[in-house]
Amino acid sequence: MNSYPDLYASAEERAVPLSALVELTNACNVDCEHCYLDLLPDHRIGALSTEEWKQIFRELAAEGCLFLTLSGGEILIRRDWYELAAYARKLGFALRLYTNGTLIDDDVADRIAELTPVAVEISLHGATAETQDAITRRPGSFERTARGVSRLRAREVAVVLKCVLMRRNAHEFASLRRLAREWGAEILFDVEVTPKNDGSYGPVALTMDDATFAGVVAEVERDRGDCAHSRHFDRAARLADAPCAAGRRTCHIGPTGDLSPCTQWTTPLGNLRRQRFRELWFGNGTLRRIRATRTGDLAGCHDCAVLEVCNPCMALSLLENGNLDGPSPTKCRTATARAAAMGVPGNAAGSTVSARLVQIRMPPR
Amino acid sequence: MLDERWRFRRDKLAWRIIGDEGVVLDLRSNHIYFLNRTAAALWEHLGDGATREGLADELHRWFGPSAGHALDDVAAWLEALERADLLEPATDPVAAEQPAAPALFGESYVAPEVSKQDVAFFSALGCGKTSPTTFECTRALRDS
Repeated sequence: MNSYPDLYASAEERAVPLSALVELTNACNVDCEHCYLDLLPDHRIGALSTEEWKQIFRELAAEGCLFLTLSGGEILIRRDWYELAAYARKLGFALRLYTNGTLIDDDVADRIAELTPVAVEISLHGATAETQDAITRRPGSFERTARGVSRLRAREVAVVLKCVLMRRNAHEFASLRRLAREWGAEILFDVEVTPKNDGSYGPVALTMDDATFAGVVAEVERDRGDCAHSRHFDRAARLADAPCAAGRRTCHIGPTGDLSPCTQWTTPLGNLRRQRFRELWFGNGTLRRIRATRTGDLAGCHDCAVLEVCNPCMALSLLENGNLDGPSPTKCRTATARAAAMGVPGNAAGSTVSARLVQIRMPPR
Repeated sequence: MLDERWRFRRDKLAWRIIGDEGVVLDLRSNHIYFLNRTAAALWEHLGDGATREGLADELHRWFGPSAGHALDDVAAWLEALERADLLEPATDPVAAEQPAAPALFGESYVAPEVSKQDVAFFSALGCGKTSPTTFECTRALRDS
């Protein structure tokens, strides 16, 4: 290995779990209306203990995991968050922390800076208190998040703001970009509002209407610039590619130790309280199937005209359709809008995929 | 430098041995370093601190280059790491337990090497749900 692509290729070839996202808790101090999780306290779900998480971190390190993302819920609610994060750093992990930022006081900011995280990713869903607080359903959350970001930036911690664009906040798209610049942070936008992990479609009703969605996707594409990763114009290569990294070189571990290929994958492959990571990662039949799958194998996607600009998601397909073969209505909608924004010819009216899109655009609620 | 003990900057780096090679991220600069199999084997020994001579002894024992050859190679490698500011003096006591010999013990010898690449870490990409993919942006690939 002597380059970044080599690292990924090598990890994929050997099924090294190069990146892991672990949800330390499902508990949260805000209540975002679009959240895909059921936010329950740790004692109700039997969350892993400090020592159990440390054991999992050791197992991940032994298998070659380098990038570790600590997520929630709100990670700062766990009293042992720093102990776990510091332990992970001691094991050599590159850390990312996901938080809503509202609990970052000076002491917490000092501790985060000590960890030298790759970045702290902070959910921000509005450029104004009115919007943000309405989405988090916690008055004062915007101000608290803003102070948290400021404290981190004062300590030169890299901050990435993350925003899910929806009906309620799409009009603040430009303001959010400006705010990020003012705060010295990066900002990533997500235009997809997915069903909850329990399968309920409540959050999907919050998604932007089609016209707004198309406009915002076009803006996001302009922002994306020449980031070629998101543009697979070589159709043959796209068909031969893996749909995504989930289960190949990334994994997700939930607060009770359930292992999944990714965050959106709602059917756990097994539990790390009962089985070793290595045993599950290399022995699970679903993971073997995922690793063998190429985009061209996705029956619902392989003949789609906008496949080149799509990121097919087996997990969402499973959640929305009950199968792995696609298409996911959420992904179809995004890919269609992206194709339009990028001038990629779309599916012909009346084609199989277009007809399917019409049928599935409005999922059951 | 011969008798000085050095260790890698644990608090500023992330690292992992993958297969028989190594990856080191400098979290201050967004530089990524790649260690060949000999360098990866030595890296673990730098975690708790090691001298140039101690590392050369290990190389000699593992792979069989002459003592002088091993010492020269280790010196060059440590200098490369030092130039990259990946090392600091180790002042704490020597760990009772040293890492075990690498699995490639007895294989043909190649000199330890480190190579560097700059990476753009913060970029948008397809799947916004899972952070690890943030690293996959082709800005990084394009820059390679």
